[in-house]
Amino acid sequence: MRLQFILAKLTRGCLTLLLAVTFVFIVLRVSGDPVAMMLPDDTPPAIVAEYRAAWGLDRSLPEQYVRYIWSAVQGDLGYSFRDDRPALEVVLERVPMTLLLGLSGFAITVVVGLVTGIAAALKRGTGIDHAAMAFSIFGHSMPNFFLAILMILLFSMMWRVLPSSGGATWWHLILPAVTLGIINAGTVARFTRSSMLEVLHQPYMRTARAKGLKLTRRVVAHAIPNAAIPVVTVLGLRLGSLIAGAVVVETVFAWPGIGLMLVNAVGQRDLPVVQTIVLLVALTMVLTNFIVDLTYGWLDPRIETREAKEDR
Amino acid sequence: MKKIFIASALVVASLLPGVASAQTDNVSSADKRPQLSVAVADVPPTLEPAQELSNQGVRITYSMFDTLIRRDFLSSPNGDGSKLVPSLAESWKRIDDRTLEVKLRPNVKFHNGETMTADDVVFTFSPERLTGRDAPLKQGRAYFGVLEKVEAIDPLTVRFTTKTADPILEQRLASWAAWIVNKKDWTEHANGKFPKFPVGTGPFKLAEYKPDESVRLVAFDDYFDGRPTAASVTFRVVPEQATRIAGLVSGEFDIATNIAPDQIQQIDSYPDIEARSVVLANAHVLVYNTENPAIKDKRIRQAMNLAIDRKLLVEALWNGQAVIPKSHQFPEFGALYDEKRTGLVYDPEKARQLLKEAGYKGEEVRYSTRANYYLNALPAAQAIMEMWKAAGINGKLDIVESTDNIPSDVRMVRTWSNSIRYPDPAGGLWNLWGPFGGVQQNKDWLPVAFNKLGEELDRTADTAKRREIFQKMLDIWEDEAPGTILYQPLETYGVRKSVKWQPYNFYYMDLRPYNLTFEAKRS
Repeated sequence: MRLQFILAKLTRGCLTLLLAVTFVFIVLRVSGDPVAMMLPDDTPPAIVAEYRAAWGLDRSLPEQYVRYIWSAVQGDLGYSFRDDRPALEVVLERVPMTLLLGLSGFAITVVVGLVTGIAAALKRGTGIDHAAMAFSIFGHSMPNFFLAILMILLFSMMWRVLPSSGGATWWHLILPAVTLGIINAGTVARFTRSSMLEVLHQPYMRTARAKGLKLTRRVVAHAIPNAAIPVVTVLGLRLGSLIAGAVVVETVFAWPGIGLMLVNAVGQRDLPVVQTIVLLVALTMVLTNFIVDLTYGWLDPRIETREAKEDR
Repeated sequence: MKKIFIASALVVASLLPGVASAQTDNVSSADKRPQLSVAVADVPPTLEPAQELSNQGVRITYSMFDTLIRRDFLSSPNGDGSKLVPSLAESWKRIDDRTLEVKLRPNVKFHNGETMTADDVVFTFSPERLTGRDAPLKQGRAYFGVLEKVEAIDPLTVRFTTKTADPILEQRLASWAAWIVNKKDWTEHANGKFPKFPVGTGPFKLAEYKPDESVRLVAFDDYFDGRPTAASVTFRVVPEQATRIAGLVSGEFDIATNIAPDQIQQIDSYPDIEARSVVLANAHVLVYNTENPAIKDKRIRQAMNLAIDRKLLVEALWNGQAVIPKSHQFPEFGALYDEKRTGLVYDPEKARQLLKEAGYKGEEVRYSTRANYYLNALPAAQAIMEMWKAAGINGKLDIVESTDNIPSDVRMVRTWSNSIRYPDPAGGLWNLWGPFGGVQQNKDWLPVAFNKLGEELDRTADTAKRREIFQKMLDIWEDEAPGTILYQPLETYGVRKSVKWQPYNFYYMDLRPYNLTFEAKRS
């Protein structure tokens, strides 16, 4: 049964990857000519044609697609049009910087989101609760590009205390990581608050209090573990979108990660690089969902059984 | 949860070297010269000067490589001068209409310590590198396809022979794709294609290249034209204009490129920075498909041109700073330029009359443009739609991803830009609207008389005769109206006031000692 469950998930995952790659492959090729984008616009057409032939763009779309899929299955994702190096190599070089930003932002999300949510639940109806929820709405509704520009305006232009762009030093990490962290912290705070409120009224919490346990111990040992399941689900989703989620923030802060590379590659129609990034992002999402599904099945075997029945 | 925090911290810490390594500095601490920092929208994937001819490419390679002859942009106060002065060539002389002999400057060093000789020059223009059908630098033929042979007469003398008479060979040698590379280094690193980072003779040499992130150059103190005034120059990729301006204000950058005209006022409001604009040797143009039935009658196309109020476009979109040329000719053409030519006229009344004479019945005229490729292309298009409507033309705006692949049966009007590579019609009207340019290659316009005149222009060396031929070509171009010029756009830089640097009407950033100095106290 368990093997069946895993195989079903793996098959779905592979189909999702194929659909994502196919969609991007077609959309990119019908939305503009990469050769025209990369050469000066007064380049003679004969020279443009030579580039097109060299990159295999003179072939029919189905032929290009079949060749791409066949190569991809063998691990060859093509060569970057701009860089003339394997697209996978070009993309993987940027992964560490995106992970650094993503994990830093994620750490801020976890700390700020959990602390704010727990404080709001414990002080329900007070000024702290209202302030925490106002922060939550701010984080949830604020467009990330707007917050990014606001941060630059305040910390770089007005107070001149932090650099606005690049990734050369740790100082450069602060503004993009905080932006990314605050945007997601709002959602986490809201989930944490509602989960905590639900748990705080459970009978076992009254029992713990009746036993004379201190507030800190009651919250840490009893409330948080029981309230964690929905919060962990939200955090898991955020973790899954670590690579894809920083596109805008990386672009505004010129953070040299995958997000910035994706924006540049789309603008320059560097098709192999865009396809590789999309494949990588889709793979991350599929893997995260796969692991989350497996975890659910492990935590609650009823989910696994129910899904297996539905599949039949 | 505790374990998750620890694991996260460990992963973040493991990424530390990646950040720390970016701080490598190649400049000696004893070097007191300033380190210049430039914010750019992008950097090119290689630094091969004949490969990277885009705005991003020449901005960097211009300070790494030299041409034999140099166009002195500073011979005009606006940075658009066209006087030719010696550079790697000490002197040059015409042997005949097809032959030019160049005497090289002795003891010029490449960045790898090699001394430049005639062999390097011959190799730079060789079929193997630049001009052959299978040459790896495919764009080279567009500029030097005219060459029949390049020979080394002695270690410091090179002879260029063209296939036919070429009156602008000196201009070509001072311009695009003419940057000299070191033969030994190039062939060693070509690896069947072309080296990504060839060696030049310019005032700055490559220290560090990070794709899509930054290019760091350091001073080449053996530069033949004087010791560079900056210890290093770093071009940092900052795609967002707002962030480039923020970095300029906060002091991270000394120069920010690609600033839109509507930001000039904001930049000028700060005490220590300023906007510096230059009108580019480029024109935003419209191309008409003269074969399309709806606009086949030239009177309709003439009416479309007469209905455009270019002055209003310049005032509204470019703060009045873009320039409307007098037809497809520019003052840097020198003796070939006719100051008295009327050129691009706004006359909606005459446009209406021409439409009536042509029997125009309100057929749709599709205007295809990319939204963000040319600065202000979209607002200009929207305004032109209204101007045409006022004159009775039924224009329809069509926003496309690319204007190159529109099928000929629906292609009517498309946006384009014309860079004037040489200060001569051979690098402008004839090159772009002639048989090898995009318009005729797409069969949008197939003029017989215009082409005959262009071929005559190519063969003619006499300036007065060339002027006469060129002016006749302009007459045809205006009368047949295969398109029109809207304006010459601006390029604006945000610059720290303490940096004394003049932008040019090309995208080149000239950081040679004569064009880059710093005030003693930098803010």
